[in-house]
Amino acid sequence: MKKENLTPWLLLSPCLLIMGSTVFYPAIRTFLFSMQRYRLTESYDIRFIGLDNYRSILSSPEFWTALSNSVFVLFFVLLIAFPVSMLTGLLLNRKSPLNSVLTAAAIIPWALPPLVNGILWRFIFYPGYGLANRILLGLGLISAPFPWTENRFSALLLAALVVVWRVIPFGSILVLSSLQAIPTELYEAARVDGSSRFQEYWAISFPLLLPIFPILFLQTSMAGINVFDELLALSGDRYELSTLLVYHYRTSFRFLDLGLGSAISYLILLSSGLLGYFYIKRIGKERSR
Amino acid sequence: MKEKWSERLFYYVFSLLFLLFSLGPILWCFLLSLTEEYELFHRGGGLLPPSLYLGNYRELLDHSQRVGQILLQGIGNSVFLSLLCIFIGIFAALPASYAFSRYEFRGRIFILRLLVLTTVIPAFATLIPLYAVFSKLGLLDKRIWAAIVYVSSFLPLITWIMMNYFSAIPDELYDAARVDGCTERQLFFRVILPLSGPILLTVSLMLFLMSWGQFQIPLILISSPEKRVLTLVLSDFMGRNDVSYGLICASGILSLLIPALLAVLFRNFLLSGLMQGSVKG
Amino acid sequence: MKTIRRAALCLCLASSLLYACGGKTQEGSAKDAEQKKGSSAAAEEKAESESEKQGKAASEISFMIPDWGVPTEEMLKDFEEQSGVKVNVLTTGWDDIRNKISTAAAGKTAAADVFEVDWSWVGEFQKAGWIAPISLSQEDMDDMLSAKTFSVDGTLYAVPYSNDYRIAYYNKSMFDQAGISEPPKTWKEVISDAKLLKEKGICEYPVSNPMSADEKSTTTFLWLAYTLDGKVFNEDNTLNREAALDALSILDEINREGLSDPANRAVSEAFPRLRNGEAAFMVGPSSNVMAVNDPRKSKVVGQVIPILLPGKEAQAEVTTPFAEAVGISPYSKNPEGAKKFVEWYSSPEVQYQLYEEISNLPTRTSVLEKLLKDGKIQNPGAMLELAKRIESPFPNGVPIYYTRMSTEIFNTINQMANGKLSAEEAADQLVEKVNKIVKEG
Repeated sequence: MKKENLTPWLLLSPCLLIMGSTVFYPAIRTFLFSMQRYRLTESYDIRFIGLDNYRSILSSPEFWTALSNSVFVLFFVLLIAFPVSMLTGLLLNRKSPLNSVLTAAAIIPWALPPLVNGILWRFIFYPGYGLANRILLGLGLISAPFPWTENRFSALLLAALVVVWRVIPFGSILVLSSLQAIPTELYEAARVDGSSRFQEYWAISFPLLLPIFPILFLQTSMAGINVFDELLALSGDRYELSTLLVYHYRTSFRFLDLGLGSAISYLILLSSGLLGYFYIKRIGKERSR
Repeated sequence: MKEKWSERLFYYVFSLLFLLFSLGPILWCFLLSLTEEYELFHRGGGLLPPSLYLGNYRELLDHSQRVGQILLQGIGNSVFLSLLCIFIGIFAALPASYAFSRYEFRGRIFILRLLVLTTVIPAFATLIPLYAVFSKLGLLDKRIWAAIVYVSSFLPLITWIMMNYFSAIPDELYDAARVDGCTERQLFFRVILPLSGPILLTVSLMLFLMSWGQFQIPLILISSPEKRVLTLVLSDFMGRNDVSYGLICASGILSLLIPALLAVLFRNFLLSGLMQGSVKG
Repeated sequence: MKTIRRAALCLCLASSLLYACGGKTQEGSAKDAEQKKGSSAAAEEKAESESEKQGKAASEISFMIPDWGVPTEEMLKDFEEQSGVKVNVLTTGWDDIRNKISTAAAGKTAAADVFEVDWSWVGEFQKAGWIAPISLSQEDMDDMLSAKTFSVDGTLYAVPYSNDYRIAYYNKSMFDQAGISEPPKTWKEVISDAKLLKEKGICEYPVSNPMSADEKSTTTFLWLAYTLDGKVFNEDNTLNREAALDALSILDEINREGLSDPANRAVSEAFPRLRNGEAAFMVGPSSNVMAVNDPRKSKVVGQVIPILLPGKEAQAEVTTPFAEAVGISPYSKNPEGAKKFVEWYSSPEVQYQLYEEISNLPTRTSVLEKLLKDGKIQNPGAMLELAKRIESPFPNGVPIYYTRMSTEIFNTINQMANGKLSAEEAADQLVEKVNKIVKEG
């Protein structure tokens, strides 16, 4: 590491410029909105009301329902997406004629436009004759069509499943490129020593993948918290099913209540930020070997 | 290289499951796109539609039909924006990540953490003020500004990824180059950059795919019909009482062709990129 | 090798960057030629940027409308010749229009000169000052009965172009099969007829009505309560408990007796069931009159007859409108052009043409009569009669808090449909929640 003061800042400038103007400044403006009574449809009546918006949100059952729903989805997303991404990345890493096909298969869910994604899953879990029900009925596993989205928990699990499906491509590509960066000599040396493939994974691949864990966790968590399109497509705008982002969308874009909506987005920001902070505590402390 | 047959089996089984999981829904999407409108809601019925309906695809691939035109336009705009995004993204992230990994300076950890933390800011929180500012400055509806906003959502992530990559390059390499009398600049361009092939490729792919799926940003910031991206164009097919699901599914399938092609290219280049990037000093 | 490739890539991207910054030219994208329909509109469409708008203000307007309201190229050319005003059509999805208008209004600009105004938006748009008053002759107002929905305090704010009122439909062949000769006139009859159809195995879920967590359930509630009791809200806009309970009880009974597809509780596609032959009775949008006889969409061509809505003791005398209109933005830079367009768009000739070209149901009763006389609509049944009996369920116009109220309503109905509330409890919850919103204003 070189110690210098001017060059790094120069190198950082485009990045900081972009972030400063398109993220930090608007984020501050939004914070100001959040302390106002600002209904878009009543723009003649904008008042400063301090923390009132926050107070009313924290005391509304809607918020707490949304929060618990978000946590529920997040938990399942992490539980499933994380190991599967790792496995898939390892899978893709192997030299094999199937590689191109597998990589394309891995990336395609990522490339599907969100609207199509929502509709697709809606039809898969359509009550009555969606794909899932047709298959289960056909296999004789159930005798009557299962109403997937009626029950709160099954609907949330479905949303988690859809997020997982969407997020695994990202995770596996990340793992793949990290694995590819590991020099093959290490593997060869290990093989000469007679270790099995499993031991190889455990002793070599895994530790060298550690640096990307925080990134993986953070991105997966964000995807989990930000689930929104899919929930709306799957089951409409139901109070008991809403996650934080659906709650936000309803307040800001349907009710056009910007003051309240901005406050919600700040609360989301704070809770995600807290989560994120734990993940990133370690970064910045690495050095090259 | 010996390989136990049990490992091979495990590999193939897992691959099969994976393919089913990833492509299964897409296959279903494809089937839906071949189904006639009223069949979609019909009770009963097996897995396949009673008759293959090519009407959706005919409509979309027909240049004289409005629907086909706007889809093509949408795809073109999405490609354009994604390419812009790659360019701007790498332009900003490459020097930044190099700075983070290579230099020690005051505020380094703070800025780094701050940058990464912005991932948690939901897009919604910034869009509306952004619109107001752009509106005043006349920056609305210009694709390059939309691309910059896209990039701001991805910048922390790709900077972080690239920073990790650079940090993994052993110190000996730097020292060796210095001994040879390289300036920092020469070091960067002659040694580091060629080595970063794989990561640049990965990051480009990520940028492309992430901007491909963007919806809220173009919704708010782009208004002319001929600049609309794919994700917006699709919501056109949603009527009020009558959503053309088959058409949307068919459009979805067609729009996958480009990313699929990219995926295959990516894989090949990634592999070949590595053969050249040896980390021996 | 790699560096050359990379340099070439950079060069390509850099040039396209400069190209994009240049901004003026009509570049589509980095791929092969698309056939733009050779209209001069191609060059003119660049006029989205505000500076250009100023220059061309005298002869252009922008028109933001969903796909189902777009006039054909010939029609627009006609208009341009007549009036000298060029129209830039911005086809936008229905949901997105509201977002765009509100975001633009936050910046005090017009998202478009003329735009779609859905009936449910008129309250909030007017209060927020996002639509300008429009004046029509009394004759026009009488011809377009749905215009009443778009008036606030006696002033008209948007002109309806797409008619949508509720009609009751029944499948005559299914009823004949069950031996029922007369269509139902009251809800009691609807339920008993439906039970008969179900018992005889003719139709498993004879009634189709939305019960899911979206807007369709709210509109269902509105027309049902209004046709049962003649009102939904009291004069002070609070919810009338009796009307609410009446409507909820009927919905509840239909649901509990298994007369409506349980899928309707979770998804919003209740209306297509009629033309799929899976329902025998439905109250739905007027567009179904055409849809059920369209061989491309319907499996029951010729079997369905539109009739008056059932009521409490006898057939209902009225129906409710859920029409769509076009309004003018007060921030428009070309208000005269906008007005000319709106007048043209709602003129009898154009409404007739819109039906022929894009199957848009006209809002003028006179045009509807003409269409029927010309035999353009098959099996109209009670369609014309109902068109003359349109009444708005809101005593004081569509309220500004409509969206919030609607969300409470459909959530409560959905909870009731999922068995979490009884009809009585649902009515109590509705009254409590709606009145709270009314008080907050």
